[in-house]
Amino acid sequence: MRKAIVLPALLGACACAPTGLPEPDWAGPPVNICHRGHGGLWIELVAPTAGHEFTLGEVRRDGARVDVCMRHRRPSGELVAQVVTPIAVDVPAAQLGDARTVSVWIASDGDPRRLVMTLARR
Amino acid sequence: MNNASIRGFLVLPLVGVFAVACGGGGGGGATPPVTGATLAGTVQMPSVAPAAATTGFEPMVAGEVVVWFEPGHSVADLDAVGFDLVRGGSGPIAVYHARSAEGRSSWRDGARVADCVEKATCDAADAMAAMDGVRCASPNYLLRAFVEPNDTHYDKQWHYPQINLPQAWDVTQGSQGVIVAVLDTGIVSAHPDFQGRLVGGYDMISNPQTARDGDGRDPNPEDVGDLITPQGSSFHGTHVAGTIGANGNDGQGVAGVDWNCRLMPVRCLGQGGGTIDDIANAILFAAGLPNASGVVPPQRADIINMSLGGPGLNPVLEQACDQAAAAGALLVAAAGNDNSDQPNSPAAFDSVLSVGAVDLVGQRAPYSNYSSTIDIWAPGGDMSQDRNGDGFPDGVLSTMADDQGQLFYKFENGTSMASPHVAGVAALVKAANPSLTAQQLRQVLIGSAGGANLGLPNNGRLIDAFAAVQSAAGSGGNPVTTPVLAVERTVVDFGATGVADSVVLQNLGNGLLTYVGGFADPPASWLTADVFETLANDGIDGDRLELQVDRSGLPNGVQQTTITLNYSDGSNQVSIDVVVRLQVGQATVANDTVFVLLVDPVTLETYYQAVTDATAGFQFSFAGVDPGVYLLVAGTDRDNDDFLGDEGELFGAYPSIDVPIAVEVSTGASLADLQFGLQELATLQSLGLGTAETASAETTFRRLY
Repeated sequence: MRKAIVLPALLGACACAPTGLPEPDWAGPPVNICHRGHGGLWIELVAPTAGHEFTLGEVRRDGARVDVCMRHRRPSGELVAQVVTPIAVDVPAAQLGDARTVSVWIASDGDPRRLVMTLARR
Repeated sequence: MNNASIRGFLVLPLVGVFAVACGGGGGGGATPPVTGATLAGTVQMPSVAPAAATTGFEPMVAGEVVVWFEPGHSVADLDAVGFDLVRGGSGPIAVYHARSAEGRSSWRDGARVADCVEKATCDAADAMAAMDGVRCASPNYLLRAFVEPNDTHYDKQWHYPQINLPQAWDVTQGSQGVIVAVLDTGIVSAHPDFQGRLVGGYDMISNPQTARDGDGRDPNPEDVGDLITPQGSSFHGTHVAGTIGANGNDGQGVAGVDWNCRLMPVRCLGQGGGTIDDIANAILFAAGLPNASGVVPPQRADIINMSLGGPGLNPVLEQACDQAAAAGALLVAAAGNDNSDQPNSPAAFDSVLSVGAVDLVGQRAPYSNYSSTIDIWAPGGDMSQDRNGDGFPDGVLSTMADDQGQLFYKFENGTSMASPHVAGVAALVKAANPSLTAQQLRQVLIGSAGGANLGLPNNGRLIDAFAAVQSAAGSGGNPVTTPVLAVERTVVDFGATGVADSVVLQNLGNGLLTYVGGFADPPASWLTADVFETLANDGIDGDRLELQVDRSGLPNGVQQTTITLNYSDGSNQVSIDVVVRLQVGQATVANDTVFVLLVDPVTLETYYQAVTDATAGFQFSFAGVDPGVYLLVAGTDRDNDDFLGDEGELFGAYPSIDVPIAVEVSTGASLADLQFGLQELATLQSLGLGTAETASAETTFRRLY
């Protein structure tokens, strides 16, 4: 009778940023973030339609914290399928190293990056 | 190919964590399964060809008339000369036999309509209706249960009862004479739900790179995949086509809206989307007009579905739509998923029927546009929710494939999913009355739409399949002469606090529809259900089912029951699912001990545990917790194996099992009012839906003592 639970991906996400960090200002499509069991990060953009691109950009470490910068590109003038399309990207644990704090940023269509959230790692 | 299974919902991630900050939106939320809902009903295939116009009568008990007395009147004071009492005496209803009907044959046996027993019975009913003390009278019609297909996963297609499709299928299940073009990514033609249904289409994608099939425009509209995400291709056209016209009542997979129409795949969306040039030419092809391919189909499409769009109003696309409409096609398009009031091409064009999306309870889906150019609303789903508690996200379930060539079924959400519901219903309407022009078809769909009480933007209306086919049949086809019971919604969710609600009942057909009392099965002990008033012939007089929940005796978790109303002779039934959720801290009676755990969100190791039960009001508290990030879960361990949340046990996570969020605990912090609900769990395997993906999603939580 064990192992009956089927949960969606479990996460450790805290909406509040530790003191000294900027406030989240991302205003694009919803984003979900989940800690992977192996120490990596799973980042999902819930795109409202097909045609969006969401990729891992730069991962920049600074001591105990790491900035994960994602790239987002909206559909470029073409007509697209009107289906909600989650796009997930894995950030390997090796790229996060032993950082204790992770800030996830998104740069959309070449605009300056915006902060989605800051998470504490265990 | 016959063992295609449901996939996709197991790997759907959590949703809505940042819904407030990011303006909402629906994604792929998955929920652990709970005990499945049931739909009551008997399958009986209609025996009359749907599009065949007849001048006959609906089946009835020959010579029998049902009478409803005015208050204060009864059998005793009715001067029923020429009638014999069959049954009745107490209560307002009695049944009489008309002597004038004796010795006559049925029109079905060749009798002249003017002389047949059915005509005599109807005349007798009219005569009794005019008698003093009689409120109304009707022939004792033989009613049929609504058609419900036997497709394996039909019970998860909540989006069909929502628009009264089972009632519509009683009138027509479509016609092979109707062609619906699907302008999309193409169709995976090998899917078992499309066998025998496809007509020749075209691949209109001119760029070989985005087409991904090695060439430009060609006659093969097979969907080879668009690789739109790192997770793979969308096979969007296959999903859309399945909603329009997957084979129905074939004992497998899902049902489409129309079980007989023919589908014309026109491929115009490739990797990254489609160009104006390709889509405009696809529209012209589907409408049988000259286009860049140099080819036109032998028979143009009657209906063109476009589950696609983009911002702004493109003049080239508008020209193509206008010309296709002028050629006689009805164009249907998705209104867009930008949660915006801005118009999209092609949906916003005057020549296109624009479709917005509603969720399971008929509210505007959080992603759906709400422009004033929207003509009608239809189910598009909201996969961040599980409002009917069936253990699956509230998406639209339809046909699907993957890049490895596997064929299965998947939930999706979007106005892309709403549009094919309307296209499919349009095909049914066309089958019910083939003489309708595209403009008349449009008027029927809009004019018959319901849901006035749903509060959709701009007084929008929800498509009503039954009302539409009935309206069409009444204007030249085979009119419905029997009463048809329907409800404004098929799910009532009381949530964590609700105690009373009501559902408006409707008679969508014609003739007397009377509540016979009681229910097909007794309601659950915690639910009180009462029917108020009697449905009048017009069926829109506000009669209602009143529901009240007694929460005092309920255990934690989700409680679910189905109530089935009996009308007239008992064969006219409709079912409503009722869901109640109890939260930790609110339950008052339970024998369960609840273990509340603080666990590591990464390793799921349990760090702290609190124990509570009914005597403690299911309150819990932790003290001396180290700073950090924790997942807060709770559950029972009825089988005493030290693990929470096994099958048949209660389980929950903060703030909800759908969207568990880790709690950050800082030094000296005090967090109060952490309330969340528990649900009784069942495994996917127990629902017969287990797949290899189940194992990867399984998680266990161990109690400390």
